[in-house]
Amino acid sequence: MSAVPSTDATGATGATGVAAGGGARIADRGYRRYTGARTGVWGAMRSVIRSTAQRALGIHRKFRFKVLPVLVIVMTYIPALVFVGITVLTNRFEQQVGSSGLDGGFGDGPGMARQFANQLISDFPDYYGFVVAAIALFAAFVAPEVLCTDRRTGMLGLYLASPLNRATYLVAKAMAVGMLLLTVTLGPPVLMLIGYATQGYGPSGLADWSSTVLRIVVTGVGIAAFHTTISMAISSITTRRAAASATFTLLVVGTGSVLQFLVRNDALGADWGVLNLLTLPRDFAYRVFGQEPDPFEMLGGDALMSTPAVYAGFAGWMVLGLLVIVDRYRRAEVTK
Amino acid sequence: MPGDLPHAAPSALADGAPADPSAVVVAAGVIKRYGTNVVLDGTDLVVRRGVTGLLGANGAGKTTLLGLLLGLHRRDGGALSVLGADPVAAGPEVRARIGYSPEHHNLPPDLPANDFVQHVAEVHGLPRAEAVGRASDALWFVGMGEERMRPLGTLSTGQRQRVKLAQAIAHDPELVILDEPTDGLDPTQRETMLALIRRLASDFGMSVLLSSHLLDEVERTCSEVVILNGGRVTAAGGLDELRGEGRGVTVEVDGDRDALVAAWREVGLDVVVDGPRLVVTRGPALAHLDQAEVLRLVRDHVAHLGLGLRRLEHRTVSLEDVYLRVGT
Repeated sequence: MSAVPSTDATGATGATGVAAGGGARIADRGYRRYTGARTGVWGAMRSVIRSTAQRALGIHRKFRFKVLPVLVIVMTYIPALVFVGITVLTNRFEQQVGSSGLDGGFGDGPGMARQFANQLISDFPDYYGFVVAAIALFAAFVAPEVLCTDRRTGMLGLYLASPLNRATYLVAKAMAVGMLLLTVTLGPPVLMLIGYATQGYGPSGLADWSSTVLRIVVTGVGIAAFHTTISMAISSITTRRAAASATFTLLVVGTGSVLQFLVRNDALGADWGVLNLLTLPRDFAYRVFGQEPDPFEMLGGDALMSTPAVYAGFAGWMVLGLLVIVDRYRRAEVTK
Repeated sequence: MPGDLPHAAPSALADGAPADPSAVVVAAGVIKRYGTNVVLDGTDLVVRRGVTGLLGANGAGKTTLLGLLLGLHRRDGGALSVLGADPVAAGPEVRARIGYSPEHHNLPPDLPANDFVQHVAEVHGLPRAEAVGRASDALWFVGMGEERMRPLGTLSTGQRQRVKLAQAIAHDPELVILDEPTDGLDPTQRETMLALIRRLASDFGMSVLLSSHLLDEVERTCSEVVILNGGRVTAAGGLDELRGEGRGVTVEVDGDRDALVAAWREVGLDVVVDGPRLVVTRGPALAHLDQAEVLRLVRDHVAHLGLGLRRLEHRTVSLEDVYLRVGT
């Protein structure tokens, strides 16, 4: 057996020894030239998306970095699990009542239990009323974590010295933030849809299914895009994560409280509600499902915005966010 | 005498390709403005294979030039070719072949060095499996093998500098741009870093552009130098050429120096009186003479006038002399 130190054609300077017998070889050949394929811009974007998502979720990081994202994600799924659980329990109750011939305290028997369950469980747009604050909290945490950190630590300069440019970097970051937000804007309704369907509470017929699935996807993607652009816009203004998170939270809560107060007291017309960042995503969800929020149950007060105002406001906020992001990154100094 | 110093005169950049096959960077009349502030004012330069030092005072335009080479800024005029392509038009393709180590030491503090280098390698286009192996190889190459799993925030400045070098080379670039790579290092660490930089060129054939304030490290590491001043290249070329070797002689004599100077000037030699020394270079009329002939001509005039010769040697100046003359 012999090991032969050498410098090979690719410039390797380590021992490139190969055993004469037994097939053993030295795997670590030291630094050397690379002649293989390269993945290009899309490969770079994939790497940024993966590392960004891992960072935001605390993967490969200490336990304390995992607590907040996991907690918020769990918060958004709990209502969905509860609603699906109600349908499961109701069906079991109905089966027991049906097999025993008792009415179970619901008067006319199994049918009444189902009606009771229908009153308890949430419709898809109603669901966003439960989790709108948790979604905003998740956005307040994720975007600052992945954008402010890059500028504060100089990673932005290294990214832009790679095949990425400002646009592809921002697209990769937006995709990462957006996909993380989809876990809380799209995941729970999809879970509800599957749960409801398996328990007989879901859509009936192909048309109903197609329509419901499409509306769920549009709502989930829309709300994720809405929070992605606004949270990224705020994160592009400062390099401090805490400041960006606090600003986003204050903006959402502040516009929610102030607009709700002013609209409820008739100081402003109902359409001024488009400035309410807290409830606008929920209003968007209702409009996508062709509904209007119940004025006595929802946070937005008893005045209802017109549907065009909701869509215009929703799109307007995203355009404004995009303009801020593009402007901030166009002027970002990255070679210092 | 700035006018005496060599100054890169790049040929026209026909369809963006450098005429000199050994050139990795060619700039012709590059202009960059920020508002009314002209940072690069018609910069001409050629960076060839090997290790090239980029010198200049603060505000000379070094950082802006590096940004232009990386395609991070759009130039306001002139032509620029990096590795044979326009860094703005072909930015991703050019940057995939460049390694960049920034001046700052701010790196993600909670990220292990190995993960950091691997991620940068992936972003530069290496497949994940390759990036894993090459990150480790690069960190061992720079002497950070044992420390590669430590978070960046726990590393010393010297270790961070080595990690920055590792991330710049992990993807096997053709051109490595290093901005102040020895900043914050002690003398021993500096020697180690400079030796690593020299190896990049000698062992792996990479071209290195080294931006630095430290003249002695440029003098010891680089084969060529570019000096920027006020947004213009005031001197560029081989180190020996810049220092004046092979271009004139230094003379010290006893006796009537005025007669000697007059005699030299009469035959077409240029003379500068520098204290007791006389620096003699060939004038335009004697451009055909080589260095040995100039030396003989100078010596013969001293002998003809019967002066005592105290010193007669090829003129040499340090890079610091050059820099002080044209770089500040």
